[in-house]
Amino acid sequence: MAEGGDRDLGAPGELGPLPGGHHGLSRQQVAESQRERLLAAVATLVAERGYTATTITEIAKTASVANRVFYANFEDKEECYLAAFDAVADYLRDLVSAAATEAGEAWHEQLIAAFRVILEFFDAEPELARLCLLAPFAATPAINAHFREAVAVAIPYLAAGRSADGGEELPESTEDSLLGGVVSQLGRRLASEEGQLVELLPDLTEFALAPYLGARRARKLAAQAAA
Amino acid sequence: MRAALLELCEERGHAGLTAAEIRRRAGISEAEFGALYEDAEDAFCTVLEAMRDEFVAAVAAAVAPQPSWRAQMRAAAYAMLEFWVADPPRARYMLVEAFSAGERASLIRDQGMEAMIALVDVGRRDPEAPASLTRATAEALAGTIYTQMQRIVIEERGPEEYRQIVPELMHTLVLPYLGPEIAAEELATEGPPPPPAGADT
Repeated sequence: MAEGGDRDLGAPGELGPLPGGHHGLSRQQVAESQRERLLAAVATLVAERGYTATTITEIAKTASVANRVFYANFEDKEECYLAAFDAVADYLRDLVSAAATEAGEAWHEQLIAAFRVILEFFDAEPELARLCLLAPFAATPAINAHFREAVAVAIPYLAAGRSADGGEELPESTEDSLLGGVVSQLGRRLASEEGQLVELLPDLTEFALAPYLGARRARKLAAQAAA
Repeated sequence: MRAALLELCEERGHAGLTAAEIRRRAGISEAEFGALYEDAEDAFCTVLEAMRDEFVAAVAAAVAPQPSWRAQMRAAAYAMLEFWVADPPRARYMLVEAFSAGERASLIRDQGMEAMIALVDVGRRDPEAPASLTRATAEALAGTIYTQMQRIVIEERGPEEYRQIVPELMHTLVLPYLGPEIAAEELATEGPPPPPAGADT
């Protein structure tokens, strides 16, 4: 499995190819740039044509590197995909963490802020949205398992809502169920190519908060989130 | 063909499965295979499609005689579980292998999901259901159902453990539509609803 967490993909908007010609960059800088371009390339191609139809040769070509450079960085396509996925997940985790801190003390405010920043991020980066939310369901067993593990990271944050009124009595599988539902809904909206993901914010807010805060309060907060 | 694919997927997973491997296991010639399928993926997806139709039919049959949406949901949840329990290799094929078998398999799964969404979305017609709910709630809950089903298959839980998950699933399903009191009742209820009086059994 790829160890993508310690490698910086950079902000997704910065994933451009290295300028050609004599650039005066060190060997290490070139290697880092090549790796970033490979990650950007796999994201572009998987978003365009799906994981199965994407080949290593195409990834290398799109990244403007030789096939041997691909193999110097990754064992195979799966490892390259997982590195790109992890880089996005790490970036998103930082984004969510910053948004939650800014949102204030209340659990529900942090959760709504997290939803909002995730939805806005994926709306701004449709290729990365497809890479992270659609491809894992049509790729390989390892990728599917990796995706489920990545989503499960959010379980304790959601479960923090159990200290709210009524939340303690919820079944053990609640967080897993809610996250499965949220992810599935994002994937469906993305696949339909209709509208923006952020339009789902009120629905997701009501869906995720209601078990912890009750339907009425969740509805009110969802309406506020939409405003 | 179906038996051959189920066996192969259980033994080594579908990844990299070739038409030659499937032909050998099914004991059919290249010409016979070619007359039926374009390639290994086509064979995999054709079988998946048939299984999806069986699944949707099994759930629809369980739901049909039930008078209320709540009873329909519980009948559907148990019908789904019995469907998986009855044939574990089929469950693995549909809930694990098909989740990493390419875009066509993904589309076939989505069509099955549509049927689930339509079933769940009927909950909005209940007089108790909040008017603010949209179809998006049913879409999320259908994803919840798939996630939970997939998990129990991956973790290879036995039939009894399968059945234990239904009350929790029902709690999650009815909560947005019927509120916490009904959801708590469902959490304490085991077994499918009885067929209504006068219904064919």
